[in-house]
Order: sequence, then C-alpha cells, then structure tokens
Amino acid sequence: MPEPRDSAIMGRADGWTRAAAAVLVALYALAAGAPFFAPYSAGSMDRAHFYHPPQRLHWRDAHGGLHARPFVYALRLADSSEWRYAEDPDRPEPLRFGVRGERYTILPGVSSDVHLYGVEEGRVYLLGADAFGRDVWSRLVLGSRVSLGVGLAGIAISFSLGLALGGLAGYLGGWVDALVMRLCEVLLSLPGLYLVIALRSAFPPTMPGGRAYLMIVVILAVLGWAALARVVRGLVRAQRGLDYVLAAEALGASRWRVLVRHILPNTLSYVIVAATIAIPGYILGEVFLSFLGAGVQEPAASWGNMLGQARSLRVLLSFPWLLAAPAAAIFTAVMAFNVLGDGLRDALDPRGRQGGKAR
Amino acid sequence: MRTFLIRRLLQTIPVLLGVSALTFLLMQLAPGDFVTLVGQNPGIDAATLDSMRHRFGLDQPWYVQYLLYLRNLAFHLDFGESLTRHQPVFHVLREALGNTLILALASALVTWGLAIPFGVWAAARRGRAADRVVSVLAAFGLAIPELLSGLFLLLLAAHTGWFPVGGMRSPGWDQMSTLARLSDLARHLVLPAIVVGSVPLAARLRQMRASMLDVLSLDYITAARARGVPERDVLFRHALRNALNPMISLFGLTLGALVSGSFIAEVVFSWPGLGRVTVEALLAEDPYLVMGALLMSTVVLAAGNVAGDVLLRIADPRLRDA
Amino acid sequence: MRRWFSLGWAALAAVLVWAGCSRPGAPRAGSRPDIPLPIDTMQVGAAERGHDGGRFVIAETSDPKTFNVVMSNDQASNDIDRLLFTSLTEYDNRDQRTIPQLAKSWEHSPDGLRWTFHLRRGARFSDGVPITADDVLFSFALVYDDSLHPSMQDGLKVNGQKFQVGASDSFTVIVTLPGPMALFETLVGQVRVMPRHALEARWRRGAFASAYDVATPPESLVTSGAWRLASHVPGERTVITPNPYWFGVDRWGHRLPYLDQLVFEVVPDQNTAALKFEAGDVDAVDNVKPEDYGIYERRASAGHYTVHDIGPSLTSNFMWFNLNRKPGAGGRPGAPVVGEVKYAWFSDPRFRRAVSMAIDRRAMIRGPLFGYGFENWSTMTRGSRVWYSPDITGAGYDPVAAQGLLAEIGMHPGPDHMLVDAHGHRVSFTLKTHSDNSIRIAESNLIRDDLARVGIEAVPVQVDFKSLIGNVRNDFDYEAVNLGLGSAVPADPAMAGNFYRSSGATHFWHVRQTSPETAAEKQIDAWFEELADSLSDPVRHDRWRRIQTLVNQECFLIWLPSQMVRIPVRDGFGNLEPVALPNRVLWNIDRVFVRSVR
Repeated sequence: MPEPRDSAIMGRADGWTRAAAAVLVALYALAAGAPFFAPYSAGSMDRAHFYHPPQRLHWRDAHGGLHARPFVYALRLADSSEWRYAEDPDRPEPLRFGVRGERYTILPGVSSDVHLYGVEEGRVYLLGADAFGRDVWSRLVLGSRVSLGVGLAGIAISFSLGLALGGLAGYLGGWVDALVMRLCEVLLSLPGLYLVIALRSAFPPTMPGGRAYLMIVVILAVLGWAALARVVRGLVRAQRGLDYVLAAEALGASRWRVLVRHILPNTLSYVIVAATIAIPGYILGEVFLSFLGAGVQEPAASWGNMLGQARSLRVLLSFPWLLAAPAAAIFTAVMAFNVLGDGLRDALDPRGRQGGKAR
Repeated sequence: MRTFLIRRLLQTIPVLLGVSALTFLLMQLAPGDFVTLVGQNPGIDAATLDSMRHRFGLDQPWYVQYLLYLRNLAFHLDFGESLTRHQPVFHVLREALGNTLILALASALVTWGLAIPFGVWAAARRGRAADRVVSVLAAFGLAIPELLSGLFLLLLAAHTGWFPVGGMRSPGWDQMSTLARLSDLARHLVLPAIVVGSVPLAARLRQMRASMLDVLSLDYITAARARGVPERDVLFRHALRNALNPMISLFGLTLGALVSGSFIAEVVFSWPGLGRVTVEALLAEDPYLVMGALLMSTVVLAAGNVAGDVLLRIADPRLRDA
Repeated sequence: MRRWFSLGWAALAAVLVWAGCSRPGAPRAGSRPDIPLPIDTMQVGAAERGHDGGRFVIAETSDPKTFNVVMSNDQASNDIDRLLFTSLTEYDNRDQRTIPQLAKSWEHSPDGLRWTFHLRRGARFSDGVPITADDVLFSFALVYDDSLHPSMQDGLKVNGQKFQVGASDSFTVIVTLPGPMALFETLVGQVRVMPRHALEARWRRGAFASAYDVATPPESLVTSGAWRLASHVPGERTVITPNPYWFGVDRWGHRLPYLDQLVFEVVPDQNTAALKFEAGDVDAVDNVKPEDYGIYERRASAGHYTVHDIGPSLTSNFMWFNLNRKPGAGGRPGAPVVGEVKYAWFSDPRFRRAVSMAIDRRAMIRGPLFGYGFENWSTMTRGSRVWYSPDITGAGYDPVAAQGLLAEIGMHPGPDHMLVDAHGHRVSFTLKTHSDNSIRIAESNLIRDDLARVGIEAVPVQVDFKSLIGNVRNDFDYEAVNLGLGSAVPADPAMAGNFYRSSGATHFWHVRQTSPETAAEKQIDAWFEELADSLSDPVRHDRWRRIQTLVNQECFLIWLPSQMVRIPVRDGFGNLEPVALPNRVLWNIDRVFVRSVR
C-alpha cells in the first residue's frame, strides 16, 4: 500500500507538532519579509548608543497617564565606562507603525522603504543594540535569512541528489545499485566537521568569506546526499515489485517516468521527515563555520556570527541580550524542527506502534 | 564470524582509499606549494625539507605523488611533517587522538546512559505528556549550541569549584598515584562529556524508543502481559534485551561521530584533543596536520562502524551465519 | 536488567563522589641539589628577600612550537625559551638599562667598533659542562648562519654586514663592528648562548633547526639560563624548574630562582582563561581585553588578586596601503602589486591623509577599547617615557576636510553616492586584518562605516595571523592592512630599523626597496642612519622628531588608538612587578617568590 499522503499526516499530528509547524512558518515568514520587519539595516551603526539595552514597552507613563499607543523611553548614558543606561522619563517616544526608513529591494527593480515599526526621533531598540549600536532585532531578523536559508538550500541540493541517486539505485538495481551504495559508504565514512575544516584549509584564505562559506555549504550538501540516498534506495526497492509499478511499466511508461511520477512521490513523507531532521544540522553547521571564521563576514548578520561575537564573559555579565537573542533564535528553530520531525514521524508510522501499556 | 570480519575489513579498504584520494586532492587544492609554505616556517631543517621532498615526490607528477603518499601512509604511517610543530604529524596526532577517544568514550557513556533508560521510559508512556516532555528535554542538548552550554558549565565550575575549569590533567599529574590520576581524569571529564554527549542524545533516545516500541508490539510481549508478568519485568527482562540489538551497531557509529564532533567542546574546555589540534592547524595553515587529522578521524569512524557491525553479530544470533 | 542499570548508576555516582573528594595538591618543595656557586656570581637586585619554593602559573594562548630559542618565532615559544637560555647582556625592564649576564663586564674602543666582553668564570650549563667563549662563538655562528637565517640576524648587522667575533681566551670574547651601532650592547643580548658540546654536531649536519623541538626529552635539553625544562605535555602545559648550575644570586648570596616551578598553562580560549584565573588555577593572565578589565576589577578583593594598572601600552596600531611593486625587468622595480588604478589613489599622500581624517578615533576608544585607550601618532607611544613626543600629532578626525581633499584629487560621487575617481573607477579597497584579534576586527568595522560616510568603500577581510604576515612580508597580496607594531626591548626607535628603513624587511608599505622610491623615504633613511649610529642623545632625539613628523606628514601610516594596559596578578608573590615592556609579567621571574608556600 502506498504511504499515506501529507494532508492525512497533519491530521494525525498532535498539538505540539502543529505548534512547531506554526513556529517554523512564522520564522520563515519573518525571514522572507525581513527588511520590512526590521526597522534598520544590518550594518547601520549608531555611535552614540553602543551596547544599548533593550527598551521596555510602556503604556502608562511616569505621571500615571495612559497612552493610546505603546511607547518607549529614550535612554541616556548613565555610566560611560560600564555602558549603563537609564530611562529618561521626560522623553517618551511613541512607537509608530508603517514608518518610512531605509530603502530596501524586494525584487530586482522593486523596492520599498516601509518598515513595520519605528520611532520618529532617535532609534528604537526592542532587543537592544550591539557593540556598534546596531539594532539586535534587525540583525536577528535579517540574519535569519542566512541561517534559515542555508538549510533550505542545503537540503534542496542534497535531497535532489539523494532522491535521484537513491531512487535510481533502488529501482535499477545491479551495478548501478552497487556503485551508488559503495559511494555512499565512502561519503558516510567522512567525518563532516573535519571535512569542513579540511575544505576551509584548502580554500585560499584570501577568498572573501562569503564566497568560501557558500562553497563549503554547497560542497557539504553535495557530499551529504548519501544518508538520504541509502534510505530512499531501500524504500524504492521495496516498492519495485508492487502492483502499481508493474502496471505502469506494462502500460509502456519509461523507467524514468515510473520512478519520478509514481515511486518517488510515495517516499515523499519519509523525505519530509528527513528534511526536518537535516535542516537543524545546517543551522548548527553555520554556527560552527562562524566559529571557525569561515562563516558570513561582517557587516552581514547571521545567527552564527552574532553568537560568536557575543561569546564572552563581559557580554554574559553586562550585555546578556547580545547572547540571548541569537541563542534563543537558534534554540527555537532547532527545537521546532525537532518537534515537527518527531511528530511527523509518529504520525506517519503505518503500524501505529501500539506497544504502550493498555490503558 | 571470522569470514564476516575479514569481509567487513576488506570492505573498508575502498572507503579508506576513497578518503585518502579525497585528502590528497584537497592538499593539491591548497594554495601554494610545499616550498612556499616552508618558507613561511623557517624552523624546518634543510635536511627535513629534502627528506620530505624525497618521501612525497614533490617534484614528480601527481599520480606518482599519490602513490607515494599511499605508500607512506600504509607502510610507514608517515603522514608528513607538521610545519608549525616541527614534528612528524603522526606523533602530534597520536597523543591528541588518544585524548579525544577518552572524551568520546565518556561522552558515549553520557549519551547512552541517558538514552537507554529514558528511551525505554518514553516508550512505556507513548503518546502521553511524559513522552513528549522527554523528547523535548533531550533535544535541549542539540538545540543549545555547544559554545553556550560549554560557557555556562565552565562558569558553574569556576563559581562552585566542584569541577576543574577546563583542561585534562591537573598540574602535579606526574607525582600522582594511578588511582589519583584516574580520579583527576574523571573530574576533568565530567563537564566536557556532558556537553559533547548531550548533542546526539535526542536522536539516540528516539531510536531507543522506536526500537523498544517495535519489540513491544511483538506477540511474545503480548503473551507475557497476558500471562500477568509485571510491567517492569516485561520492559526490562523481556523487551529491552531485544530492543538493544539495533542500538548496538549504532554504538560504534556514535563513537566515531563523537570523535569527529568534539571540536568546540575541546576548544572551550581546553581539552588537548584531535579537534583542537586540527582547528589550530587550520588557523596556522599546517596542511599535513589538517589532512592527517581528517584521515585519522575517518579511520576511527570506519573502525567504529566495523566494531558496531561485529558487536551486532555477536549480540544477535540470527545474523550469525549469514 | 534493571539491577545492572541501578548498579551501573550507583558505581558511576560512587566514582564521581570519590573523584570529587580527592584533589591534587601543590607539589611539595623538592630539595635542590647542593651545587657550589661559581667564582663569578651575578648579583641580581630585588626589593625583597625571598625564599625557595612555590609555583607560579601563567596562562598562554597556545603551545610552544619549539624549545630552540634560535629558531623560535612565536610568542608562546619565546616566552619559555628566553628563560631557558642566557646571553651576554640583558635589559632590565624596570631600571631600563642594560645589565650584565654571562658577560660580567665589557668595554669598547673609543671609536665604538671593538667590544671586549669578559665572561664569568665558573658558569655552567644545566648538565654541568662549563660555559666558555667557544659556546659564545658557536652561538654567533648560529645567528649568522644563512641557511637558518634566524629572526635576530638582520638586527645584528650594520649596513648589511655581519660582525666579526673572536675569542682571545676561554673567557674573553671580542666583537668587531663594521660601523658604530648605538644599541649594540643591548642588541648583543639577542644572541642566546647555546651548548656547543650538545649541538655543534647537529648543526654541522644541517639538522639544527629541528634540535630541541617539543618532543625533546627534558633530561637531554641542555640549557644555559636560569631555568631548565622539567616537563612538557602537548596541548596542556610546560613546566620549567631552576637550573641547579645557574650563576645568579640575590643580594644575600642565595642562588636564584626562588620558585620551584614555573608553569605555562595552555588556555586557548580567553573566557576560559578568565574563569581559570578566578578559580585559582592560574596566577596571571597577560592578554586581557580592555572590555574585561571591569570584570576582573569587580572581584579583585574577593579573589585575592590585584589588577595592576600598567599604563599606556607600548604597542602602536595603524593601517597602511600597499605600495609594493612586483619585480620588474632587469631587477628594476616593476608595476605596483595593487594595479595602476588603486596605486594612483594609494600613492597620493592626500588620499591617505583624507582616509586618516575620515576615521573617528574617539568612537574606537569608546567602543572596542571601552574607554581604555588613547590617540597615538607614533611607534613610540605615550608609554615610552624617554622617546615620546607629545607635540607630534597626525591627521585627526575631520570628515569635512577629508571630503575636501578627496574632491581635490578628482574623486566625486557616482550614481550610488559612493565616490568614483577621475576615470570613473569606484573608490573601493579591501582592509585586511587578522582573525584572532577582536579589537582590530571591531576597529576595521568602524573604519568601514567611517569611510562609507565620506563615500569610500572599505571591505574588511579577516585572515589568520600567519597568512597575514605572509601577505605583508612576502607575497603582498593585500590592498590595505590593519596591524600594529609591538615594542622592542629596549623601547628605542633605533630598534625599528627594519621598519623605518626603506630597505627593511618590515617597512610594511613598501618592503625591501633597493633604493627609496619617494623623496620622503630617502630623507627618512638618511635621518634613520644618524639615529642608529650616533652616540649623542640630542642628535638622536632631533632625528627621531624629524622622522616622526615626516612620516605623519606623508601619512604613510594611518594611526589608530593604542590601549591602556591592565594585568591581573594573584596576590601573595613577592617581587612581582608587571611593567609595560614586553615580558611584562615574567621579566624578573627569577626573583619572584611565594610569600607563604602553599
């Protein structure tokens, strides 16, 4: 019997899984519309406000009056050697929505300067500012494009390869199967992180960091198809002798068509689950690459390089928001993918696994 | 069994060949040739330079170089010279590998020590809140980057004094008795093992749970329950032994993966392992050292795989005569 | 099954509890071998009288690469190796003068060309073999060996010529210079005394560079200095102990060093080093970033340590543009490495001045340096009492004037409001720095922003330190670099010959010129010779002022702020005085003692 289709899967998913899916949709939506959601660009510095802490939203001002829209207090520098700020009760700044700010491109030729929120005078730092006065929320949101995008790009490459090669191996059998499986073994025997380091060392250090980083991600994805290929091959092999396949072949469909149009779609649900497990690997891999200095370079933002810059005792003790923001983002994304993957796997299980004690 | 072992080992040969080819290719890609690299590292004798040129055929065409490279690897365990440490790469790596293996073993203990009991527990409470909670908690180790968890644990160590702040051995190691040395090592191992071991915990726990559920759905378990065997015995006496079988082959794989994944923890905890040496070699542009590390960790990974398969065969009599 | 599990957990718990309870203690003070003092001891002055025993632990960011002081090129190796081997003279960091070491006295001929050093009698290596003039001659031969070409060789030449070294008897060494050299008696301290009986054969075989590498068994490593190697655990720590034959004594005739052990603990991560310091595992951390000063100071009294305020650093920081040329036909200089377009900008002093004026140094001091910094306009910073000139200034922050200058050289805004030059090329360059220095990286980031405000695009790039040095010294594969120059010992401008001379190997912006390309560099060369050769202080100071002024007029170097230095050191050690000159903590470690042996 073909595996159940996706709509049926989500129907059987429990609340946690749905919540995780919603979180991920929200994260990717944020990433997609990042320049809109971010009041400032990633590199926009503010020299008067290094290490500015997050501003609290208020509705009630110091004199007890209630305001229609939320506002923040401008902060003034209380202690310049320790970078401590204090709220200035005489300068409330109401939050405005749909403000005009820095221009950004949506598509080639289409640009806009409307941002979700902002303030009229000065700048607003809902998650605080970093060592250069750059808004953490803006960098977080803009950096999510890198961190979340790399996972999608990575699995797009590795999964295409894995599906194609695993499918061919399982369907055709024979020497194709043997060759692909041997190749998989070699690739699976490579320790991933060492490979990253070896690759990094092979690329000239003068290569701009962005390009080296992309190349490494591409190469990792190209090498990472092996795990999926092995499983796809098993699944396809199992389906090879099934009725619907024989029927399609008897009707004269080419082998490629049978593979792509009939067999592989039935592996889709497994592939989706595998994707949710693989993407966190890319997110964490980006953190590792930034740690090695091979990741996205300044002034571009990524969760990995934000975390790397914030990794110091000084930050932990005096400016914890610099560490908390990227850490929370990474944690949320990885956790959400994990919960989603778990839930999907449970929902997909055809045998229903009733091993638990009868209630 | 012996034939299986031999066959399995023979199967790893193409793998090792493949990796050595890859390593060699990467070294060729590295910018500059050996001579310019050496020029930047004046600590190399002229004699050593000549010896290296001779041993690796650096003035020969690439296929000759590759063959010489293989020959050096296979027969002399000659991974080349470390340009920054002025020593044969093998010497540098041997000590570091040992240290990483110790850390990997301790981490495996943490992973399995938590994955097995909690996996069983989650399987027993499938579908209930406890099941979910356990999975989520196990994922913490994965979702919190090692950079952070390492930093927090170090802070804990510094403030409470319960554990040493990084490092592998205390000063004064040389004067310690064997027993004292073991205890010293254990104290240094606890925190890094937690950091490294908590990363694959979620996956292992899930696998343990799935394997357990598979076994629990078998007829003989239903029969045992029908006979009135207490649930605790059903789980631990009847089901677990069989549920552990698929996990055994994973053990070897996990060990190999731990060896190759402990970089960040090694840097943060100043653990003198393979990962840290490799990262330093990368930053110092010491290509032979980096490549040697890649090869060595691959060998460990492959050995882990073979060991896992062998263990599986020993444990599962059904596979014995295949 | 369950029983096994419970047993397993119980066993693990037991091991951990037991492990936690037993802690390694400090080494017991071993008794030292009773070796009689030599005839000519060296009395070393110190504030307090100490006693034998105890251990001092200092944190290092990396492993030493070699114990061969002649070949060592990196800080981690130098820190250890210079303590293992002595030299004819040494520089006293506190009194700031040259003091005798192996040479108990010396004199020179009136023309300053012939120096005679009288060696101490009875000085021995760590294996008991006497140290004689032959060892000194051997050591000079090593330094002057062209195939080895150790880093100190170039500093020990005058006009590219080596010195003549000979011995009139076993305890007298005579050095003849081809020309006068102002700092000779200090510079000769860079020649470390190596054991001829142990190493000459290796040297003749061509195997000297790998001698005394980190795998050398400690017993076979023969040293001439106050210390010898006790143990080395790769990746963890190096321990050195007193050389039982050392000829240094305190004012009461007691043999030095006082400490039983000096431990170099490898801690690659700065956060871990801070935590280890707090936990009491290390006694000093020498490379604390200014942003962490506050953290250390907060807990100083509770942690029983003092954060020593050393004052202004002697390290100067700057960026410069690549004016190097490729080798051309017939040995003449060829085309510029960066290409004609960029060379046209870089070689124009007005462009360099504009860049300097566009940079907001106050923001750098406030931001990355956390306020612990100061503007600096010379390689002799405020920390150098003798050579600092407060009236030497440079092209300070004035973005309006910067824009004016850029307009003057024909740069105007292009379609995206960034500048293009007179031929339409976008004004853009890469700014390289090394990836392990977060302050320089932060400063490069600020520079990028500053220059963007005047329309110049600067792209910060990070590479590792070794590659960067390779780029700067050998392959010139860069456009602009953000780096600095540490202080030499002594802090005398004449020590920076390789930097200021146009023919120098570290004349960064245009290395090793056969003849100076610009009139300014020709002038600087001339003044520098006078600075290096003259023995008259007023002349030297005058030439030094002129050199600084001209360098700043031409803006060959675009100065960046230097930092104020603080070093946290644990209390309880006598005679411990961190200073600004290099070897800041360990310069007098032979006189340091533990007040109460722990």
